Amino acid sequence: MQEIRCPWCGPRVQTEFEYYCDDSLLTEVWGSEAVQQNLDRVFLRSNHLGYHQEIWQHTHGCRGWLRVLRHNLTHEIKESQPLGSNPVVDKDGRMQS
Amino acid sequence: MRMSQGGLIDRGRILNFSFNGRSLQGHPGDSLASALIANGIRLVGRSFKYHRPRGIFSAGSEEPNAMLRIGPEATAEPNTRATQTPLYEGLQARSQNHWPSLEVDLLSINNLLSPVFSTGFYNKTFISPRKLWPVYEKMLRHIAGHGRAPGQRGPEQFEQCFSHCDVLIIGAGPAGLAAARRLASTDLRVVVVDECERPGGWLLKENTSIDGSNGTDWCDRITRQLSAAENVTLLYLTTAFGFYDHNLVALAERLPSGAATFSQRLHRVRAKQVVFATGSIERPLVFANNDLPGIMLAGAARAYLNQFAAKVGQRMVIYTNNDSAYRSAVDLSDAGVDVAAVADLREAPHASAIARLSERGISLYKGARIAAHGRRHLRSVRLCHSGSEQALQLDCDTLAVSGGWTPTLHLHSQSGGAVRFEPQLDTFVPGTPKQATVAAGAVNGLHGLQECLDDGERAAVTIAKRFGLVTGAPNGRSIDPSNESVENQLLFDTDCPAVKVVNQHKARRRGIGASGKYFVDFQNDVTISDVRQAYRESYVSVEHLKRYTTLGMGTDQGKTSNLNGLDLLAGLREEPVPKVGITTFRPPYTPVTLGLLAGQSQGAHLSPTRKTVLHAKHEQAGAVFDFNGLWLRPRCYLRHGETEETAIGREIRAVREGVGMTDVSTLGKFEIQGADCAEFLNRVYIGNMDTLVSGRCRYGLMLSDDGMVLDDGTVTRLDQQHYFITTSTGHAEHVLQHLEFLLDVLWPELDVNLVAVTEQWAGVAVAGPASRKLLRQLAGSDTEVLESVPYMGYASIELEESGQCIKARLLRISYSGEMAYEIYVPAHSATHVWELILNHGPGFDLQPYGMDAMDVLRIEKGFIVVGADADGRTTPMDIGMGAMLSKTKHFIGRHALTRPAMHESGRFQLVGLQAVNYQDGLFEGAQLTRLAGDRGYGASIGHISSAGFSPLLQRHVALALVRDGRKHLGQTIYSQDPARACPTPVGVTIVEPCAYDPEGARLRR
Repeated sequence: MQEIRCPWCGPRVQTEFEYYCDDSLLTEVWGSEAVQQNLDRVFLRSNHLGYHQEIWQHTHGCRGWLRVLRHNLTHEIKESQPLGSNPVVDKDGRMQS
Repeated sequence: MRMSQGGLIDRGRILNFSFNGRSLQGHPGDSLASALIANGIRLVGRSFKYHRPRGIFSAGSEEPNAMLRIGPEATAEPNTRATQTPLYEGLQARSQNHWPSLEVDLLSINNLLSPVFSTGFYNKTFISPRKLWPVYEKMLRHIAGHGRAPGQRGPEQFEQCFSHCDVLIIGAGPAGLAAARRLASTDLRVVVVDECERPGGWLLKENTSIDGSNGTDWCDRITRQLSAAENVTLLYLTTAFGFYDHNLVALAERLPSGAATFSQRLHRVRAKQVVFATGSIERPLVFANNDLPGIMLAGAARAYLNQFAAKVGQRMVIYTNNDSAYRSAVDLSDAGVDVAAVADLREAPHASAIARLSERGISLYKGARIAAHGRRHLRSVRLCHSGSEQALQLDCDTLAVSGGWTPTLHLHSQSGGAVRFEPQLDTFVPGTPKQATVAAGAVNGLHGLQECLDDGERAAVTIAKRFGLVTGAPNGRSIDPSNESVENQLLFDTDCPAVKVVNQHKARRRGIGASGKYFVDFQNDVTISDVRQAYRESYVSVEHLKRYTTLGMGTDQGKTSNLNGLDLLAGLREEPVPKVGITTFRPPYTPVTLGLLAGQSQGAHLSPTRKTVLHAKHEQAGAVFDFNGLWLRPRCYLRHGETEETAIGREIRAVREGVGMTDVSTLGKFEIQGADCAEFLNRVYIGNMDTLVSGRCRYGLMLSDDGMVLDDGTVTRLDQQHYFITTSTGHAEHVLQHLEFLLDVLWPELDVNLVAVTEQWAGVAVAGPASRKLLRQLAGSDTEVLESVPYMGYASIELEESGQCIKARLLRISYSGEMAYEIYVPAHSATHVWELILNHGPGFDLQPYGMDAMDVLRIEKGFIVVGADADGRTTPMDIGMGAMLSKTKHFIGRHALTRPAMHESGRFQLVGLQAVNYQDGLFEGAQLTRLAGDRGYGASIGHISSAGFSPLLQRHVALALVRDGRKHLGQTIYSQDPARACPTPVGVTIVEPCAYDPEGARLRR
């Protein structure tokens, strides 16, 4: 069970999080007719050995999103960055104003 | 035999226990193994394959033989190591793997048949005819194996917890205690764990002294210091069994609860730093009949003497390749055991060691090779040595063996740390760590007491430095050396262990009797011959050797056997041991009860149960509940004397002919507000949502990025910038995450606020031709509003009852094909509204209906459930909703639908099925084939995704996903359901999905 640092709540156990998708999914050209480019983004992702940019959600916590730079062999987590807007609840579960 | 004095047992109290029904006595402080030895019991089990008699071999977690069934017969825990079981009053122990009894085991015929049972024999011998393998397997399992699983659930209690600490010290031997003592003076939070009942490790088992007091007193003093320190937690009877990612260590703590049983607690400890003070395990020597009861590790022999005051025998021989066993000769001889001889494999033992023997008049044979003799028990050893050509025989009842010491690398290796071969010790020691860990003491190959204590201190300083603590710093953030001087009393000297395996051929030539088996792995009955055979058959990799011979695969995971096996293989390959390598260490270090891993997550607590706010109302109405995901929902409502079948039929009729009501609170519900809602919904759903006007609802389908159906539901525009959307029950969480991701991450620029309100709003569907008439009674002043709501319309209305008003959202949508309304109210008024509707019901013969009726109603209409009738491979076109795809806007999944494969033939399409013979049943999950017949009917061309019995049509109705199904409407195929209701194929006709009111006239009335 890995330990992931939530940018809002601090280090938390992996089971509080859910892996959502690969970072490359963020690059869709919305509405464009660049069909092949968007299809490659969905179906032809790199599965290399080494560091991956992963999108995780602190599902059973603040529900915030984070981008995690993680090694898929050693499970070393180099960094975890906040992604998108602030989560709606803080680490104690209170709604953010 | 118990000594009259000494040992760490409480002679003032007596504990009664039994072994194979025989009543015995021990004392607090005893382990089950020491109590058995004190009672003179030597035969404790039969071996895995050959059913050879076996005795207690060790004094710790490495025990390969003394695995007993502990507890009352019905719930006895099998394969429990007697060496690690503290004795308690009323303990019941039984030996395992014999028939009919331990003493007379007829299955020991296997020992004579052993040429047949060589390595891999069952793969070779029982390979044909293939059909008979289940028979063979059953037979083999009966004659080879360990304990039986208990038939009943035991009384044990299990719990789990998370812990956090700065430093976790694993092992409370000299090194661990020294490290803990140093760290206790800092403000670091320290946890010390040890698998034994009391701390001390080998200090309890050796006759040593530190600072003038004996090792045990020193342990007690340090333990008192540690217990007094607020920042230190001590856990006994606690095994650190696994090391996982990011310094997470799993601990199994056995707690004494009452006298008769142990409950266990699983700790998941996230430690910033970990100290491995895990010690080392003594290795056996390999010689003929080295498994006879009476043969045990030399260290164990003196451990039983020093810690438990139990003599392992009357007359013993010691066989060793290193100096540590000389301590056993000295301790046991001083305790009055007749030590007949020390046989040393080496030609030149240390002079000091020799001197200690001659002081006591113990004979020493150098360059010795021995073989053990005896049938059910060791009777004698035959010995040859470099001083004489003549083999000699020594009668003895005990043989203590030592083949050197293997560092307990398991956790270090599990943490990803490298291992390094130490030729001086002929073993592996920890190399560069991978995670935040330090190894200290005997695990580093150190065996002097002073060395181990120093190494513990060194580890503490290393750790302290990692936390930024420096010697002599003020305000308690310092780590200072202890002032205590430690007398340099060696645990034992170490020397390079020489040969560990007696050469079979040489032994025969020297006439010591080499005809017996040479065991490498006791627990799995692996002998030298097995290893040689594996090598001959090209299993030359150490991992292959392990799998093929099962060497090191028992519950002891080869703690005593791995290195000897490795040495043997290296010899056969004529390569150095490090080149041959070592097998991977995996958790758990010692076996872990499954119940501990499950913890409280058992039975009803396996997963949370979600109940709607109307649950009590359903109970009152006689609901039969079933799970729908985590939700507990009514399947049907039983009236007096009814069967479920008749109840479901009655409920369906009520909806089709009168009016019914059902709880739809489990649907996922979301509120969306903001200026860009329409744009957002347009992107999410395949249909045009920007054309939806206030006061209207629309059915919507959302897709994943790959173009497959993700979920369906309804979108209602409450106001210009305010929407209410529902999702299917099973996908509420997934859709929430999907929408959150889009809004938070992908499109933060959209002015949309999303709130999940599944729990805040309850929903009741009122369905049937009489639904409007019924609701008219409740609508009060809003009757006109109710009348004006069109099909797929929405209105906010107030339900009135004796002056009370409840604001409700009224959606005229239908999942049954009848005129129907979904009424959403705040959760706190749900029971009131349910009662209100029910109270007006009698005039309309209103009946609540459950999931089963709802299912049949929607199958009759061809309405899908995403997850059943559309799985992760289904496009909108496959379920006949291609027309909904907007051509004027972009939406998630659109590009993926343009791929040619999405439009080619051969796709699984949604169709209805109708049995050719009306009486035939159709059931969910049945496979569909083109031909009938029980063999050779070809591949599956689809499956039934939903099915039920329609009382109105008087036949089963079904939806199915069939390859090119729409092209084959009207054709007959076959439903194959051999494992369940239908042993013979059922002919079915492919029809349109909608079997009832295809024009939808009833919806729009």
